[in-house]
Amino acid sequence: MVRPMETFVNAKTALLQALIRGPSFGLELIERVKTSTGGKVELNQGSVYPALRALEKDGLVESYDGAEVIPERGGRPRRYYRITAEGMRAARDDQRAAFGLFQLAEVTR
Amino acid sequence: MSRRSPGFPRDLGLAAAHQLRADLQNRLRDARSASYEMQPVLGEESSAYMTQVRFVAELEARLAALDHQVADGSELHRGQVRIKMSAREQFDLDIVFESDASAPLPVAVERTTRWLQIAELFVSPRIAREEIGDLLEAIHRYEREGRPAWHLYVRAITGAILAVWHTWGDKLASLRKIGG
Repeated sequence: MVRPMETFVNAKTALLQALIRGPSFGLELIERVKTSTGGKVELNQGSVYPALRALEKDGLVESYDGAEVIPERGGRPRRYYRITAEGMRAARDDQRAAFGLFQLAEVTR
Repeated sequence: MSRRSPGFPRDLGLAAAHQLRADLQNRLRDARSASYEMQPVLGEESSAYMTQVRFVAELEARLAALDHQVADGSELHRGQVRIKMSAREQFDLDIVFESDASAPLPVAVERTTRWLQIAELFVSPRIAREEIGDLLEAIHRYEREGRPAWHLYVRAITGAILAVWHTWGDKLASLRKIGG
């Protein structure tokens, strides 16, 4: 298992990229990042929730309580996050930066 | 007394119930990845995408109903999970919801749920809803995956500690903000 800090990506970047696919909540976002990176990046609870709240504070995502009733949560609603327009711009910037980095590696190879 | 997985009726048979759940999970995984593929560009509308999103929600509801029929101690009625589905996706869950809903939750899940309810007293309301709620969901998932009880205990304890830690982190950040 590779933690985000051991890769080129940190938790906030990974979460922002995962949220491009659509709104989601903490537990599912962890799974989404893991699946989309083929298990290379595995976020943990310790980093995910503070990162999500930091992204929200920065205006890159917004959150809301889900309406569905999930018995196993004992009445606690899921907290969903969705990317804002500003967040989308930041995510695209990240993608361009990463793409540029990989292109550079390709040229120098 | 023999121990059974939660939410599975006695007259269905564990193997059949596992098969049914595996089938639902496969359909859900496929439906989710299809919905990701169909995701429209922001600002655009896509009826196909919205149909797919509804379909994912319906599968989730059915899976949740199957797995947690008795999780909150109340009986789920067939009507609550009888959702409109396409002909392609019709499959019969009647036998599940006809059945006995008195199966107890496994001890490890019950115990960790109680611990987390206590931990909830020491965290902010938002963190209680978000982090403790997600933890409970994860613990039920672990149990369904057949993980050993100690996995559930470790997850509950570390999760509870982190939730308290995050609450204090938030409080300190607010104090720093007030202090300039």
